[in-house]
Amino acid sequence: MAKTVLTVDDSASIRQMVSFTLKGAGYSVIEAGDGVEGLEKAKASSVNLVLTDHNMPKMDGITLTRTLRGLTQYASVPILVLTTESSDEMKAKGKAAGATGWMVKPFDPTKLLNIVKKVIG
Amino acid sequence: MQKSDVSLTLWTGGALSAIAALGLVMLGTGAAAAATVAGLAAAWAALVWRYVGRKQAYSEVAGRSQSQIEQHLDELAAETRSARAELEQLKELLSDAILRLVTSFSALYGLAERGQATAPEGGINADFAQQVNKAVTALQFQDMANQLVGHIDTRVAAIEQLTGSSAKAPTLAPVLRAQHMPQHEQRHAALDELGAAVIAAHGRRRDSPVAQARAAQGSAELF
Repeated sequence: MAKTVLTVDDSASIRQMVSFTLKGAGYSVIEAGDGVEGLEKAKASSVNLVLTDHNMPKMDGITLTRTLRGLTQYASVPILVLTTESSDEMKAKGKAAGATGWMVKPFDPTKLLNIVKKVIG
Repeated sequence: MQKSDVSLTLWTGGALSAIAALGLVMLGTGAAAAATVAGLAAAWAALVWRYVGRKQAYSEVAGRSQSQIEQHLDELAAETRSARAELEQLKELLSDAILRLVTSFSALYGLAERGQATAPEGGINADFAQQVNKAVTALQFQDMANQLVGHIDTRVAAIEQLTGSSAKAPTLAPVLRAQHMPQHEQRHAALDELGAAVIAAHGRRRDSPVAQARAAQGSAELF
């Protein structure tokens, strides 16, 4: 059974590119346009990996990460932050919130796929 | 009351006291004259004391207002410089992305034209896949450009508020127009209000969420 990745990003083109890359490698992908929608979809589905942007309307990626970590269902599910933010301060905040890793955009599809494979196989 | 009015009052009061005292002494009214002189002198001293105190208070308020205005003008200059730098970054990012896309699409077109889009053993040719990856990476410029534009917009809003071109009150313009001394307290209060409004509206975050100026930079780190 294909592993499921939830991609949360307010940019439709980024969601499409993530989806295109991961689906091509056999993953199942669920899309959400902001943190609130991401949280709803995460609660409603069984997700193997969450790939979230940070700067989003309604709820940012670090808040989403922290909120998901508070749910038993997502206590140990890998969460990768995929963002334009590259400062050490933001990375430290993401790590403190419970993120598994930090990827700075723009992403190279091959590198994204390698990281995803490394995290969830 | 203007500064000149206060000075005039003081000097007139002092002169009148002196004339009255001299007149009374000349009339030889003795103790009554001495008491009147003492009373007038005390009143004059009180007036001088009050004037000096008010002058000092005005100077302090004026000094604080001046310092606040300079601070807001510095902030205005900093916002303008940052907005210009971010526009330059945006221009560089767009040029870089377009160049990368043109290069990738030209390469893809060349491979397809030569019938090399697919590998002889089946599947997609490695060079073709690599060019698609490069194009996908470069296409992400839109997300970075959107964030940069959003950040520049917050800077422009701050500039609008400081220059008074925004409909949102308070602004710096009416404060700068207030020239007279009695208005210093109002200027001071208005500047305080403006400072608080600017901070509340735009926060203290000055860093752009996008540091990249090229569409081929990115990194990954697992914690």
